[in-house]
Amino acid sequence: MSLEVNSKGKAAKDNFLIALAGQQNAGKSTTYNMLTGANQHVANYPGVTVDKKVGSYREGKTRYEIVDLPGTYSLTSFSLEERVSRDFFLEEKPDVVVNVVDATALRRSLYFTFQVLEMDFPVTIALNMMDVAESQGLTIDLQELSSRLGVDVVATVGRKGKGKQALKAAIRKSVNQEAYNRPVTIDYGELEEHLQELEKKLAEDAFLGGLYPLRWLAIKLLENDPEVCRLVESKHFKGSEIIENSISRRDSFEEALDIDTGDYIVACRDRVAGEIVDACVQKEDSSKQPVSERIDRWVLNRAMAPFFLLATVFIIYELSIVQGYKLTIYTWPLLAKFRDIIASFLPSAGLIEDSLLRSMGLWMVDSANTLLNYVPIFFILFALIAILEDSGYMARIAFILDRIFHSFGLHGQSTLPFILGGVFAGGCAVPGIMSTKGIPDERSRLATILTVPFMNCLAKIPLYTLLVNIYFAEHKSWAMFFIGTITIIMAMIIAKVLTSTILKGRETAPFIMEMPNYHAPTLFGVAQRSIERTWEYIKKVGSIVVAVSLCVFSLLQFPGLSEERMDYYNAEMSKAAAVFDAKVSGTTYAEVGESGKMLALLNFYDNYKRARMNSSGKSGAASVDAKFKADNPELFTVLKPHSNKDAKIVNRALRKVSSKRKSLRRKIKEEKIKTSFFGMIGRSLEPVTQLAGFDWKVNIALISSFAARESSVATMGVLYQQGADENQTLEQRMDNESKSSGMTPLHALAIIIFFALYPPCLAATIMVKVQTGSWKWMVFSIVFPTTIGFAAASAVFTVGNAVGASGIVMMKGFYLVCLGIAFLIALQSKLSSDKIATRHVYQA
Amino acid sequence: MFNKFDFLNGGISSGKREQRRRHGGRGGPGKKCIMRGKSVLDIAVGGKAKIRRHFSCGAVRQRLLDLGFIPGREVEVIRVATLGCPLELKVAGYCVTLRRTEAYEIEVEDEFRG
Repeated sequence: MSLEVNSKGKAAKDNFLIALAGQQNAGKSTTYNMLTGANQHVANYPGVTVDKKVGSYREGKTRYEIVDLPGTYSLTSFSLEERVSRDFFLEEKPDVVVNVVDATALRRSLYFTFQVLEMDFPVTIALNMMDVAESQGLTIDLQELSSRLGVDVVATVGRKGKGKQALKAAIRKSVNQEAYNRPVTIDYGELEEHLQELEKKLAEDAFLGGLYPLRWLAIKLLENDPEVCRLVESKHFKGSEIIENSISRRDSFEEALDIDTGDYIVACRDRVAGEIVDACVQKEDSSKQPVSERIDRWVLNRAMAPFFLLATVFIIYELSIVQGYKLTIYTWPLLAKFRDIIASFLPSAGLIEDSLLRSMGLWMVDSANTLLNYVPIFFILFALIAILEDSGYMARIAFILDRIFHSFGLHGQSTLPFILGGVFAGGCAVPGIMSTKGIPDERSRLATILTVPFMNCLAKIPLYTLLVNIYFAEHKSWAMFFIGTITIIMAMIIAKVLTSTILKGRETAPFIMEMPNYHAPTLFGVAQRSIERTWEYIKKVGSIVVAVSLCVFSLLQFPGLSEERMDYYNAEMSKAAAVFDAKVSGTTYAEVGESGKMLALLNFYDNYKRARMNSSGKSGAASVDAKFKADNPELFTVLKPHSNKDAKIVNRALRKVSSKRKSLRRKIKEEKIKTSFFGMIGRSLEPVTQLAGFDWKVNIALISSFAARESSVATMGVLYQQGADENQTLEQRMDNESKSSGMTPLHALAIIIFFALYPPCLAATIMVKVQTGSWKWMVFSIVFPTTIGFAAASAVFTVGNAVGASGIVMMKGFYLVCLGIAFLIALQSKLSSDKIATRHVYQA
Repeated sequence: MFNKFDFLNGGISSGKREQRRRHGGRGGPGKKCIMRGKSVLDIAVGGKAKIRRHFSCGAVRQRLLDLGFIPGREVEVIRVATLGCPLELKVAGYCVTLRRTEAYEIEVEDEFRG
């Protein structure tokens, strides 16, 4: 029946759908890349967060569309990946299934192949990793394998692109075949009788048979697959009767043979797979231990493993964060240049107030730049992660750390997201959340997504450093240690709380993982992956952050200053301009005193200064000089007067008026923020936030840091401005101001704790939405940490105030409390896991 | 016998156990199974034994079967992680890691040294 379905209309088709399926670590992705080249894109399967990779290639007029299915060991409905793959088979009915098989694990891979064959799809097998198989002394008889399975078998080496043409030829052949050979059918022995009876019953409804192969349905019914049961129940007119029947058949079968039906079915498949492997594979006898096992004897040694792990994490940190940060010294000028280019297109600066278009444009460029500044760091980070993944060490990290993570409801594979998020200092929640994709356990995955933002991201560091420098100067190293470790402790506690409360009902998966062999990563593979992920970061973050920075801008900009205040500032500026006029009037440059010309001169001066600041070295400075001289030789003499007396006078006057202008602009900015909507929010929150000791300035800084963490310090910089004439650092200014307002180390501690638990920044919340696929979780990821953070900060502040403890004492106290809770959780989980394992012991 | 000297994981030793097994997850308590013998946890590091049956159900059972933990096959304990929890087993030529709670559900015959 299905043969007709498959051959129907084939001759006319010029667009074929090809599914690429196979087990994990079989090299599916490399095969996919080999077939599609650059012509691919990633999407999500509808309704779930599993990646859907789609690509295509052409042969003449025919287009082959390839869908890379998630790697699965079988096609049951136990895990999300398996359901996605199976639904794809059932709904989309691909023209050919290319089954990528690991040649070194042929026997086990065949279970999957059999399941696809049972679903009655034309199958082509790509026998991958032939080079590895050869190096292990395996010789595989492809002819024999092909004839025994009844499908085409092509030998490939995906990593080196070998076998590409042969595979394409095999695909072409199978889509053009009028009918394909009936492939191997597995004889289920004692179960056959039940299967055939069920098949007969199912055939009574022709509708179902048109949709799905009946034998497959019958097998799945006996396996008691819940999805198939539902399918039959809803689509077959005698659905429930058939279900009842299959259950009674199962029971009687299990009673008679004393074996689980599922086990029996797998055993039958294994028997056939064993026969096929025996007939097709010859193994050279070698007593040599595989390289992977020899490496693992050291790397996974019970005593040494933690040291190798620490060394690896240290190297990642050193190379990506430390060295990557140094790289930004070279990339930042590029971004600054980009800003200048945009600035030159925008209307030029006003005297004391810029046009809305200009300030908005620059604001958006600045927001994007702060995030783009991290690109070099991410690129290195992603490359290193790709190396870890490809080499096979990532799985081993999970193996080493699973015990700890599991105690807190997480999974061994949560390690990577936490490292990326910045366990010690410096990282970013965005790639951290992105990398949770690999965690098979839904509950742990969500818990990881929600706790990764607690890590110390790069942009949180400036605020910490600022506060530590002012308030904990004597205990600097202890305070930094506190910040570095408290976050991971709190993340663990919160993960435990989440997984045992709201995430309790989520699907969890056991930690059953194949330990992959070590592979040398290829340069191409690593480069491709890191470019891909960096680009994803730029795209997703870039577009959204720019959009939201617009909102933040409006909140900070409006309703703006009253006319009265603006008049005041204008008058101040006119005064300065008048002084400038008076000084200039006696010189040959008198005409620059006219208001329009003065502005042009001021802007020229500012642009020149900025260009000089961004230039590097003597030659750079010289070229900037030459450029500005060429632009306007007359004005340039004012900037660089040399021995021209008149020009010197103008230059001095210009410097004065320019600094006055700057200080006025700064004051306007500060006042604007104070009276802006954000300022109002900050003030109106004061009654609540004073529980934690935050004043409205801190409130605004914290709120604005939601758009991007960096802005917390930037906003504070604006708010704690005491006039540009005093040449003080932000530390000194805050120190002065806070002494008068009564800020103490306790206040600072409350801010640090709140900031550590603060919700992810905008980019990260968007990532939460992308990875969880739900707005609900995104909102939760904002509301929940705010509540917890505020509660913790208030508690510390209130208790500290009540007992009169100093900031450093409260810091120690808070640390010990958190550490204690974490220990209790770990202990409790150890006890309960022991209990599970001993639950069934008879008390003799 | 690693687990007998394991201070982190003390308290687990096999003996005569019984458990109620649910078949395929369809409600109800299922039927009572026979006494349990030794589990994978009772194999020393480096030791081998033959798998007799699984007591796990659902996804765990399926995954174990998919990975080649088929009754009758030989399983070898390669190593234990630093904190004693995930174990690395070798079955049919592949290395697989699993937690103690899952390993406990695999019943084996008497251990023999490889």
